[in-house]
Amino acid sequence: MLKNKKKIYPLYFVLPALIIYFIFFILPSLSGMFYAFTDWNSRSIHTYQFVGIENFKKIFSDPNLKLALWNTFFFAVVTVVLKNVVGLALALLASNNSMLSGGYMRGIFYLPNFLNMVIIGVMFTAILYPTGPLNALLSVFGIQGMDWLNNRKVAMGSVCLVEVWRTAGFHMIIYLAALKSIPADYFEAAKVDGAGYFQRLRHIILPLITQGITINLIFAIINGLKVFDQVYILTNGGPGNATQVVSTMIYKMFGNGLWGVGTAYNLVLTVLILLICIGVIVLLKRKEVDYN
Amino acid sequence: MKKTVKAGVLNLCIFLLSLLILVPVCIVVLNSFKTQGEAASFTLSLPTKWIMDNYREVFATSDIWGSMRNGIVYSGFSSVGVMMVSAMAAFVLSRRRTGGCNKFYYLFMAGLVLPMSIIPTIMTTKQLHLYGTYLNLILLYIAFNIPFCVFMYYGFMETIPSSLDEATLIDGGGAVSLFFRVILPLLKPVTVTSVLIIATGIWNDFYYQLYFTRSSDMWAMPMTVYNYFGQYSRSWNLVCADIVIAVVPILIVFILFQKQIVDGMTVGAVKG
Amino acid sequence: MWKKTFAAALAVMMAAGMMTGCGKAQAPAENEAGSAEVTAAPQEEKEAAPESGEEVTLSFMLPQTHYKDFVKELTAQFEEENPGYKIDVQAIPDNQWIDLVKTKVAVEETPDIIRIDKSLMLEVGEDNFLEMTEEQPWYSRAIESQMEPKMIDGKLYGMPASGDTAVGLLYNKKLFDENNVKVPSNTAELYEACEVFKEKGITPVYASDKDTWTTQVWFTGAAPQVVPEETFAKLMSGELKWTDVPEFEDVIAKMGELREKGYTNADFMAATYDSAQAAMANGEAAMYVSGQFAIGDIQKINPDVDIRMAVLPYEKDILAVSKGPGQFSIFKNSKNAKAAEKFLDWMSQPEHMDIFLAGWGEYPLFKDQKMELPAWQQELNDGYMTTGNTAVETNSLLTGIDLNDFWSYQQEMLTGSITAKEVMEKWDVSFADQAKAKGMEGF
Repeated sequence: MLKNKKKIYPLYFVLPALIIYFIFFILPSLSGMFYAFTDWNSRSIHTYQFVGIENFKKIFSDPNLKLALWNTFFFAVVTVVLKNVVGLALALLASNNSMLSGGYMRGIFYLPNFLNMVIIGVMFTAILYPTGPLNALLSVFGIQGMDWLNNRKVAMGSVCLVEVWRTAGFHMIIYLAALKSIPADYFEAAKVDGAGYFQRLRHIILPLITQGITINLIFAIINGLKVFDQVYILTNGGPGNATQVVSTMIYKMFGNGLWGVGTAYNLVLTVLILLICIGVIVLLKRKEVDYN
Repeated sequence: MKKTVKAGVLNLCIFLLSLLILVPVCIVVLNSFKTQGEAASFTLSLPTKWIMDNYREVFATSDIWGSMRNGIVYSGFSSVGVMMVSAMAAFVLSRRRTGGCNKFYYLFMAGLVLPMSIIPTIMTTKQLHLYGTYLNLILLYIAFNIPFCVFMYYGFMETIPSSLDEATLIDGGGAVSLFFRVILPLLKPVTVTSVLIIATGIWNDFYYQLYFTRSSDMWAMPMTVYNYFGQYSRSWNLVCADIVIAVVPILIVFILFQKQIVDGMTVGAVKG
Repeated sequence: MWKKTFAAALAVMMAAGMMTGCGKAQAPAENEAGSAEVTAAPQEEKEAAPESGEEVTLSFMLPQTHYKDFVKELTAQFEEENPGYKIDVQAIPDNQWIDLVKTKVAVEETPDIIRIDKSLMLEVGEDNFLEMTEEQPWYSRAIESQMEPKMIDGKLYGMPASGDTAVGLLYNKKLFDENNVKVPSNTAELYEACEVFKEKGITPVYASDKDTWTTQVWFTGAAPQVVPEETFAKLMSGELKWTDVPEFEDVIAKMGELREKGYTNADFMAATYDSAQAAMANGEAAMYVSGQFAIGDIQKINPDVDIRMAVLPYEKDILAVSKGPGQFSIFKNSKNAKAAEKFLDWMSQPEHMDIFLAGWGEYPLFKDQKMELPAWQQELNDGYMTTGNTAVETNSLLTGIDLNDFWSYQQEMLTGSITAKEVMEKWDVSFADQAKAKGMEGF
């Protein structure tokens, strides 16, 4: 068996991906990191100087960083949980090929993914407007509406919900692919055992789709921590700085022409995300072993 | 009897849930048939008079066909390309799992997190004399999507028992036929899912087209919408018509292929 | 089924690929100089462009919000009058504009022509652009005072493309006449006027604070009435701090007061420039603090509404004017520099510039322009522009500074979480940070 490995799993299969990936992504990305240690800015594109960890000192003394980090984590945690719970629930419904739930659901819930973030922003700005349709609907039920995007207490929450609206379908179809990878006989066996639905979900379905869960969690975490468009378009970090996140701060740095500092920020964010992702993967790997 | 009631309730719930998606989308579609003044308020009301002029104007003022052609080229070639190279790489990495291979895997995974760095990337492509070509963008889209795609395949590769591989080998098949004849067909749900996700992502992208082209002839659909964002004031009726036009092709592709996500694994289950 | 759909998709892609191939073969090889002849352009191509023998495509990059209808019409007219020339207009989304320009310049991929403000040009380096001298046919026709605001160290790097434009109070003349309200000239009079409109159920002053750039017009228009230009020079050189000038705090405080007193629309935090235009166009609101360009936008929605402009009612009768920093510049290494110069010269002709500047609601840039000004503009011209009863609006005095933080703090104050004093304190800190990072002298 081991002798055969080289033959049936030839390394040249990896080459095309590796070459393209290395030249067009890794190489530029890593060489870009270098600028984090320079005073590179838009006025000295070719004449930057090495400044050591000066940029990082600047970052950690930024008075806005604390709020931005808090907002970023808030967004990440809320969206990771909601996207996955909603995405999985939708996938469970949609995997059941009967009636409305099959193709209809797959089509409808994936729909927001076809829309550009700009138009989603415009749409929700209109829907969440103080005198807009949502508050009108709420007042029918006697609920006092509010200015969802410009009230500093709820703005971040609103942005999170719009994000869940936008991406739940994405997570749904990944869960769907995972669910469909479970051989049908496992389900049958469980049914014969007479286990209730939630029991089956917990003890049979979830363990079998650990891979799908890992993938979904990782994507949600990365997108959550890298959040930019959603905030930029819906609130632009406002009101004031209430919804500022790390990426909007990076954007501001680049906008100010402080490319070195911006790159340093990016590096910090990258390391942070890497650490969190590795933690999650290790944690889930352990779970996987448990069930095997 | 009890079962049908339950199914009915479930369907009703699903329908109500889908309204959350449908209502905002309907607003966009309705807006595309309204006048500029009517469209400004973004409400679910029907247009007082249905007009087709918005669509006519969008087709007259933007190069819709050229933009669509570009979009098809970028999403089509890139998503199929990235699917092929990633599946092959993931197959070998997932099966071998030696120390060296794991390092490659982690290198691929790092791409999920690493930021792309625009100026060094442009410099690289300029050195390769690729800057400003279709091939350049296709290769970039492939490169940026490889981490996602490898990640997807790597995870799902485990669901295919490796006993299959040996059986193929005994039957006299080589690595190439094993992969293309046995493994890839079994991974159809993953393939369809990732190709759809990647194609959608590229279809909606305009960022890289801005930075890596010299001419607006190479821009795809998302950029056309900016023709209707005038100085501060926006013609939402035209914006919405443009959005609808942009969504239709990718929606058709999705509808054609989405069933494959679900259909796929039955075959695998039988063989496995 | 799976195979069929896949085959179909592949066929579509191949077809698209072929279309692209064709499209490319027809376009002139603009990347490599002089290779157009070598690659044997199709015969009919040459006939289509009789004058020069080959087609020139000029890339022309501008921010999306500058790609107005009259610009589209002008470029189309140029192409029509000059066979063989094609303008590839690249309208860039606003939020990408600054990044994209900086990047394209950095990697030497600047388009042939770019519509660029002086401040951005300073940031990317003026030496990337062709210097404009007497050799340009339009040079001697340009009004000197309009060339000056675009100059860097006494040299010009682009054709003037934006003129003086005022910021102040837009008001609906009909509503004022009907209700016998006098156009206010200070805050006390403004509040009086507001009371009248409020009683009639008309929004007195429309505020659109979701778009912070509309909020800050108050400051940029009112501050010059009470703070002399030299003070700003001192701020820029670090001699003074923002908190050292008590007048600023009052200007900001008055802006908040207007909203506190209920003289604006209640949803001011969520309202945008879009909704402001609508409210002004249909007479829901009587006043709006903005710039001249807004009048054109409002009248596009309702051509019959009579919008006039007055000095921002704060303290003194001084009109805040922005010195137009915009210009059309040519990339220094452009292979189409000659053609680009031809386009600029065409644009500079009075009949074309009249259309361009009327579209913006601005004043002439060339001596031979005989623009007919609309009533509101004539009023401003006679009352202020020609009498010199003006001052430079503050943003023009802070070239190179990113003011977004300042605007965010103003917005923050309007939510009630900080005071006017704190706005100035916070801005002082971020201003100094920015100045330091940009290596400005004195910080």
